[in-house]
Amino acid sequence: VNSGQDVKAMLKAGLRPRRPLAPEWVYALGFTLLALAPALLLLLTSDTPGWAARAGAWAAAPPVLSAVLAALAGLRLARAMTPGSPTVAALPWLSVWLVLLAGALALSTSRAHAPAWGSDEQHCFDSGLIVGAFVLLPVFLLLRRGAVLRINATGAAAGVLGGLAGLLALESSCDNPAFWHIALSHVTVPLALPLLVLLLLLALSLLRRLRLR
Amino acid sequence: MNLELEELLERWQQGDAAAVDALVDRLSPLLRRFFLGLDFDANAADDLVQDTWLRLHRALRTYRPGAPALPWIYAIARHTRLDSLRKRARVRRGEVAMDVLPEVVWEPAPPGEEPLPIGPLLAELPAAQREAVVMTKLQGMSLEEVARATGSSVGAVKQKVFRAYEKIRALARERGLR
Repeated sequence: VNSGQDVKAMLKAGLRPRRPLAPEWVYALGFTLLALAPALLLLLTSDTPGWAARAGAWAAAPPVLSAVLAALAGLRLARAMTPGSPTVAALPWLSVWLVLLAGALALSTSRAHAPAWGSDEQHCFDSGLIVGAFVLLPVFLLLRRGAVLRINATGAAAGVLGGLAGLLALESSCDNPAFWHIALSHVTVPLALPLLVLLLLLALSLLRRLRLR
Repeated sequence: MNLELEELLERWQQGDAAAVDALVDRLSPLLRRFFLGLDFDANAADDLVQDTWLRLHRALRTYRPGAPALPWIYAIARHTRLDSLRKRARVRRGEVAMDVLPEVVWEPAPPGEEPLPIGPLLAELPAAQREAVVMTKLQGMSLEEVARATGSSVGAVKQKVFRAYEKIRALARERGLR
């Protein structure tokens, strides 16, 4: 009984009205728009449209697929903000996306030349990561308000979302239609960024544990 | 205050002190039974109940009005327990991996405590199966609610409960219990 009274007193001491999180679809939509924003901005302002804008109908598939995956990643992040929400399994969707993307790229890109990893590839990969990091930052700031559980999975989903933002930006601005260029320096961005975020989170948790010892 | 848990949580978010009283009165015994069913340690269960309330208080704004209350509460409760187990394991033996967390040992209920009828059998189940049985049978949660609270699928929870029942039945037969 005493313990119950203690708990009540503790809770009442900190009692104040709290504004609950917005419905999950609001956050999911917000995260998706955030992922699409750099690509839309580049499309509107760029003089030289990316390869996808100039190639045939199949070339529209990679950006559309990526936007769908960004919406799923956004939903995953929005649900992570509320403990006990149904989860969205990101990995199966990522695998489906990769298979469809490979098919779409094979049908729509040029295989006339297959360059080795060069400055072009490095430039696209770095630019994609930078755009992704700029999207990750506001996503992280929003997630700090929720996402109290499953930090690593949430971080990885945020990485996928940032990576997709980078990929979409590259698709709308890079005019190199070579299959290997796109496969090596565009598609790798949404795969590399979540890995980097995961490694960072694991390193931080290891550091925290070492400090606690 | 005879309201649904969801309504009480919304009132707590609005700063209603009466809702706090009603929630603590209604949920604390359930949470205590949940922790007791998992670890069979009355003192640890009391501490965990307090920690869980503190975390629920901190995470209050993450409850979305209209969402089912039990998965939200139990998702936080089970993470409170996992964090506490990790901390205890670290303190006891330095760093340990999650898959070698200490095994629980069933002890008879202290005087004045309501005994768990299948306590000794529960103690022999793997942690994940024990959790699924405690949530569904002792807490009366639906499979959907357990799946949400544990971040898994309904099928996975159903399988854990099924396997747990099979093991409990086998253990009961082995020991001549009915």
